[in-house]
Amino acid sequence: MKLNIEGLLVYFPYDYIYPEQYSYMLELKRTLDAKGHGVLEMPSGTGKTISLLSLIVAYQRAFPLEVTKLIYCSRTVPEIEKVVEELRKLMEFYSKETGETNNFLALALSSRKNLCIHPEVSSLRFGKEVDGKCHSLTASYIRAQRHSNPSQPVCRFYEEFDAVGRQVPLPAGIYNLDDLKDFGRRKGWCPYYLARYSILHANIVVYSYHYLLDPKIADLVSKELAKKSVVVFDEAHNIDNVCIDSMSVNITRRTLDRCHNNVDTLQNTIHNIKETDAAKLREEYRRLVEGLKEANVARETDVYLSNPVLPDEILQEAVPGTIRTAEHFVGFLRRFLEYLKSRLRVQHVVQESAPQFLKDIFDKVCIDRKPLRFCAERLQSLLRTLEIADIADFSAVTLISNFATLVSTYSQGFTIIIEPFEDRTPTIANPVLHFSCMDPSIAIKPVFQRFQSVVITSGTLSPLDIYPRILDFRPVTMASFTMTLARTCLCPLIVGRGNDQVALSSKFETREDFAVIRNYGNLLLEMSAIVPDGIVAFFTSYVYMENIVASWYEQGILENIQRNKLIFIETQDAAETSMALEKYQEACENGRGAILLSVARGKVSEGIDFVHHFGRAVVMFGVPYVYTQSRILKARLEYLRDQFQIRENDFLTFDAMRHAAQCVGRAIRGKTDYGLMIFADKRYARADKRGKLPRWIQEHISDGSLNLTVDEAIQLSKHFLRQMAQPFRQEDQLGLSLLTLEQLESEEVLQKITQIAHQT
Amino acid sequence: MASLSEEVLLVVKKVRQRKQDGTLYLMAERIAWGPEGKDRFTVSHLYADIRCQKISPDGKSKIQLQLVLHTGESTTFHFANESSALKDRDAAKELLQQLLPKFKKKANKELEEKNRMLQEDPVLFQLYKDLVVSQVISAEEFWANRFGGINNTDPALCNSKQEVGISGAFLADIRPQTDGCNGLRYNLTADIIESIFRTYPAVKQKYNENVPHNLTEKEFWTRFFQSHYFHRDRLNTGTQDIFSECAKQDEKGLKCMVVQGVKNPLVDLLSLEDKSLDEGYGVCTTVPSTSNASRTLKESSNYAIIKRFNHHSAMVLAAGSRKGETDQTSETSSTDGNSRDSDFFQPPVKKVKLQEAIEYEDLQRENRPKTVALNLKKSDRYAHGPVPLQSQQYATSQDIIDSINCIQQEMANYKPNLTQVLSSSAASSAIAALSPGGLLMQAGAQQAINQMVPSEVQGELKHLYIAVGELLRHFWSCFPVNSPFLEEKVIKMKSNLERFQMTKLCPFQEKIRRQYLSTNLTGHLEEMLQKAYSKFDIWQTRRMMRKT
Repeated sequence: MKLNIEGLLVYFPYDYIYPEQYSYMLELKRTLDAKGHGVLEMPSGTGKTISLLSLIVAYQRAFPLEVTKLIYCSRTVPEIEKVVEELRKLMEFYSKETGETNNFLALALSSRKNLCIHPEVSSLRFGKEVDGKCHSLTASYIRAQRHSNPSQPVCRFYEEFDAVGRQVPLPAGIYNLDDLKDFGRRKGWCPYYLARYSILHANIVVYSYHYLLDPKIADLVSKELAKKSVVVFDEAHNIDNVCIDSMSVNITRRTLDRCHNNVDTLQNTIHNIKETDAAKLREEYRRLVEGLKEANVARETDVYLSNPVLPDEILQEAVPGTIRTAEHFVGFLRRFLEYLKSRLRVQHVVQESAPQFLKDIFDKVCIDRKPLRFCAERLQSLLRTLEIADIADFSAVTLISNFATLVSTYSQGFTIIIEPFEDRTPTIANPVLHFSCMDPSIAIKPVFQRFQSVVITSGTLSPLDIYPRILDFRPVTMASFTMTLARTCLCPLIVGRGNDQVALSSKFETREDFAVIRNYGNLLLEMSAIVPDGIVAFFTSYVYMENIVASWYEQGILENIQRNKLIFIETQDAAETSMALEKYQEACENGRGAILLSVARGKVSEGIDFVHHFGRAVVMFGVPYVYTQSRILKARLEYLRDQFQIRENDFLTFDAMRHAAQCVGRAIRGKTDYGLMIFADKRYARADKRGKLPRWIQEHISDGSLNLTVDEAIQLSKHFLRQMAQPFRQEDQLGLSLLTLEQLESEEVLQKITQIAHQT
Repeated sequence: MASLSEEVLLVVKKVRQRKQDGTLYLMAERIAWGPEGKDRFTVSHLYADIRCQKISPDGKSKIQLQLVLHTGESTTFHFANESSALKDRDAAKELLQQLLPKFKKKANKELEEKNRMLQEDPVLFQLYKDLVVSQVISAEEFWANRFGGINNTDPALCNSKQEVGISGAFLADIRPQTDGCNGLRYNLTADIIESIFRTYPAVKQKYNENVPHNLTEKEFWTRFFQSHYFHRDRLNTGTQDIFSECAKQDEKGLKCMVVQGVKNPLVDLLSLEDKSLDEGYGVCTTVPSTSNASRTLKESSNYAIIKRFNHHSAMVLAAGSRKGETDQTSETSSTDGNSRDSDFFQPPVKKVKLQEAIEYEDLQRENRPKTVALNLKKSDRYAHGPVPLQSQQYATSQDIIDSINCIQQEMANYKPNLTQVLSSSAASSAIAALSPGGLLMQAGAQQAINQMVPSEVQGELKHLYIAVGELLRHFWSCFPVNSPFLEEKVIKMKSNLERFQMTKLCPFQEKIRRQYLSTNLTGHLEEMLQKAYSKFDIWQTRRMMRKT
C-alpha cells in the first residue's frame, strides 16, 4: 500500500499495516526532518525493520540531497541478512508499483570470513585466520614483491578487482552476502573488497555495529562515509556494552611475552632493512616530521569519521622526536614494556586512574605523556614501512600501543585495575591489568557528531531516558510503542512462591537452598507437562545453571521432565550449543517437544529467536543481575553515579531487567505468535523491577499475577494455552491491531493511533 | 515336451506318489513328478511355492519326503528303490535345501505380508479359514482382491509400520529396588532393552560381542548397571570396565556431531557474531576459566552431566528418526563430502529460513484455506472442563418449612375434577400397553436376542455374515459384466455362493433348528443370497436372449 506520512509518500510492501508501524514511521520522519537523533522502542515482531526501511527509502527518494545514505547497523550476521531480504522485498514492491527499475544500490558488508571466495582462504574456520591469510596475500608490498618474484602467491580475486573493479561501479540492486559472493565469482572479483569499496557510493549499507563503533575497524572501513547519512542501530539495547568493549584493553603476562617477541622481531627487521634499504627508513622519518597533516586536513574538511583513538590534538603536531626514528621507537616500546611487567608483579589489587598511571610511569621510567599519545600511530607507520606480512602476529604490540595512546589521551572515563590473581583461585598467580572503559559515550561520540541522524531502536529499550544519559547525546524524539493486540498473545506471570509457600528467588542468600531449587524444578516439571512443543528456560549464569542441573539430576527431577520432553542444555562451547539448538528445534518440529536450558547474557539469549512452536513458554529463573563483585563493574557503577547521577542500584536493575526482557521477548515474534513468559523470582513483583520492563510486557502483568504459586501459575497457563490454540484469523485483527488503507485514512483511527505512541 | 528344455538338476527314479511309481525331476525352477511310462508330469511345483520339506524320521520303514506348499497343500513322495532309497532321498533333500532358500526370498516378501495380515487381523483370518481352507474359493482368488488394494497404495506405507519412538525417560523407568540384602534389583523389559540398544548403538555392539560368548545376558546387564557408563560420573572409567569403550565412542559421536556443524545457519552460534573483538580487548567479565586444569572435580562432573543430557536427547531423537535419516545421510554424505562443498548447497536452506524469518503472514492478504473455528459459547468451560453446577441460592430452614406448609395446604384443599378424567376403558388399555409385554414395552423383549442365543452360535453367525459378505462382495463386484473374464468369474462366484450355502449355511441352520432357536436368525443371510441368485438369473436369461 501507499501511505501518506505527513506529506511523504511511503511505499509499504504489504496490504495491511499495524497501527504501531504507522506511529513509528511518523516519529521517524520527525527525527529525520529535524536532522536529529532518536530513541525508539517498538516490540519485536511488529515489523520494525520494514517500517524503518520503507520510511527512510521514501525519504531518500523524496529528498535525495538531504539524506544520501542509510547506514543500518545490526548485531548478528543472520540479522544483517534478514534486513537485506526485507529491503529486497521493499524494492521489488517499488518496481512493481512504479513500473520502473530504480537505481538503488544496497549491500551488506561482513567480515572476510563471510565473504571470501578464495578456495584456500575461505576454508579456514576462524575469522582471525581468514583475515591473516587474506592479508598475507593482498598486502600492498606482497603484491609489489610479486613484480620481482612472480612465484609469490597472491589472491587472483583481489588482483582482478584491483585491476578492473574500481572503475566500474557495482550495478544498482540489492546485494546480500551470498549475492556478493555470486557476483564476485562471476566476475572473478574479491567480494569483500568490492563491498568495502562499494559502501562509499551505496545508498544503503547494512553491517554490524563494530564497523562503526570499534575504532580499529571503523578507521579502516567507515571513515569516509558521507556526513548526510542516517545511521540506525537496531537491537540497540546493548549498545553501551559494545562501545565499552571496543575501548577496553586487558593485558596479561602472556600478552607481554608475545609483545616482547614482537618487539624483538621489529628490531631485527629494522636491523636488516637498515643494511639493505636505509632509504626507506629515511623516507618514513621525513613523513613523520611532516606530521599527520593529511589526516588533519581531512578531518577538518569533514571528510573523515574521527577516530577516538586518534585525538584531535595529535593531528596538528608532528610525531615527537623521541620516537621518530625506528630504533628509538623500539627502545621506547621496550621501556614501556618493562614498566608494564613491573606493574604486573603486584601482590595485591591496585586500582588507579589514568593520570595516576601517567605520573607513575613518568616517575619510574621517565616516559612522557606526549610520546605515549603518538604510540599507536607511530606503530602503524612503522609496520607499514617494515612491510610486515602478517599483521595478526603483531596483535600484542598493537594492543600495547593502543593502550598507551588511550591511557594518555583520556584522563576521564577509564580506570586501571591490576589484579594479581583471580578471585576464585587466590593461590594461582595470574596477574591481569584491566584498562577498562567506563564511559560508552567515548566510542560513540564520533558517530553522533558526524552523522546528521542517528536512530537507536530495539524491542527492549526501557527505561528510554537512560540511553541518552549513558551515551551522552540529545535526542529530538524519544518514543515507546506498544504492541496493539486483538488477543493478548503474551502472558507474563510472576511466580513468587512454591506450592509449599517457599519464596522463590535466585538472590545470593537463598541460591543454594534446596527448597528453592526443588521448587524451581517442580515449576519446570509441571510446565513441561502442559506446554506444547518447546520451552526455553533461562538461568542467571552458567555456574548457577550447572549447580541447579546437578541437583535436579540428583533429585530425579530431570528424569521426570524427560518423560514429557527431551532436555537440551546450553554449554560454554558454541559449537556444542549450536548442535543442541538444532536438535532442540528438530524435537519441536517433529512433535516430541523439548526444553532448552540456557543462560541469560549467553549467546542463545542474545541471538536466537524462538518463534511459534520453538518457544511456547519462556521461564526466567531468577533475576539476571550481572556479577556484582567484579571490580570493573564497581568502578563503572561509581563512574555512572559521579558523572551521570545514576544510582548503582538503578543501573544494576536496569541492566538485569533489560536482559530479562530480552530473554522472555525471544518467544514472541509477531502478533500471530503466542507464548507464556514466566518470571520465577519474587523480586520481579516489586515496582522498581517491574517498572523497568518494556511497556508492551508490563501492561499485560495484572495485579493478580504478581505473586503466584507454582500451581496457580500452571492453572493460568493452561487456560491461556487453550485459548491461544484457537484459530486466529485476520478478520479478528482488522481494525484493532491491523489496518487497511481506508481505515488508516479515517480521522477517528488516526486519533486512536496517536495515543499508541507514548511520548516520554 | 516343452519342459524338457529346462535344465534338469536331478532325476530320481522309482519314486512313488499316491501309490503310483514314477520319476522325480528336480529342475532349475520347479520340482516335478511324472508317472512311469508317461511323458507328462502329474505333479509340478515351483520352488517358490514350496514352504518347506519334511522327511520321514530315520528308521521308519517308508522313506518319504513331503513338500508343504504355501497354500497348505502337501505332496508326499515315497522313495521306493530298495537299494538306494535313503541315498536318493538325501540327495533330493539336499538339493532342495540349496534351492529353496533362493526362491524363498522372492516368495517371502509376499508371503510374509500375507502371513502378517492374517495374524494381525483375526477377522480376516477367520474369513480365510471359512473360504479358503474349506475350499469355497481358492487362495489366489482370496488374495487377488485383498492385494489389489494393498499394492495400489504406497508400498512403503503399508510394508513398514510407523516406527515408535523412544521415551526420553526410558532410563528413568528402570527403577532399582532393594532386594533386602544389600543388593539392588533392576527390572528390565524387552522394551527397555530395545530402547537402550536403539539409543546407544555402542552398547548393542558390546552386547553382540560379549553375549553369550563371554558373559551371560544377566551378567552383561549387571555389569552395565554397575558401570560408570550408566552412572553419571563417567570421569574415572576404569579400563577393566567393558563399557569404558562405549563412553569413548559416545564422546566421539558427540564430537563428530559437533564438528559436522548445523544445517540451519540461523542457529549456528559460531557464525552469529560478525566480528569478534580481538584478543585482549573488551571488558573481561570474570568468566571462570574453562581450561580443564582449573576445573574442580565437582564442576567437571556437572559438566559431564550436561554433556550427557545433550547426548542422550540427541540420541533419543536420532533413534526415533533413524529410519528416515538413513536415506538422508546417504544423500547428504554425497553432497557435503568436504566442508566447503556444502557452501554451494547452503544457500537454498538459508534462503528459505531467511524468508521464513521475515514473513509477516498477517500483513498479507490471506490466501490459505479457510479453517473453521470452534465456536465456543463459554470458553471457560472449554478451558476448565465441566464444573458441577452449584446452586448459588441457599434455602433457609424457614423457607423449607414454609413451602412444606404450603404444599400441605394445597393437598388438603385438593378436589378432583371428575368431569375431565379418562374413560375407564381408555385407562385400562393404557395400563395394559405399559405393563410388561404390552405394546409400549416391546423394546425390552427385543433386546434379549443376544441373550437368547448362546455366544458360540452368535460367534458362528458373525463369521457366516462376514464370509457371506466377502463372497457377495466378490459377486457384486463383477457387475456390470463386460468382459469374458468377469463372465467367467460371475459364474464361478455364483457356484461359490451355492457351495457356501450348502456347506456352511445349511449345516448351521440345521444346528440351530436342533437347538430350538428361532430359525429366522439366518433369514437375512438367505435373503441376501436370494437377491444375488435372482440377479444372476436375470443376467443369465438376458445373456441367453442376446446369444439367441
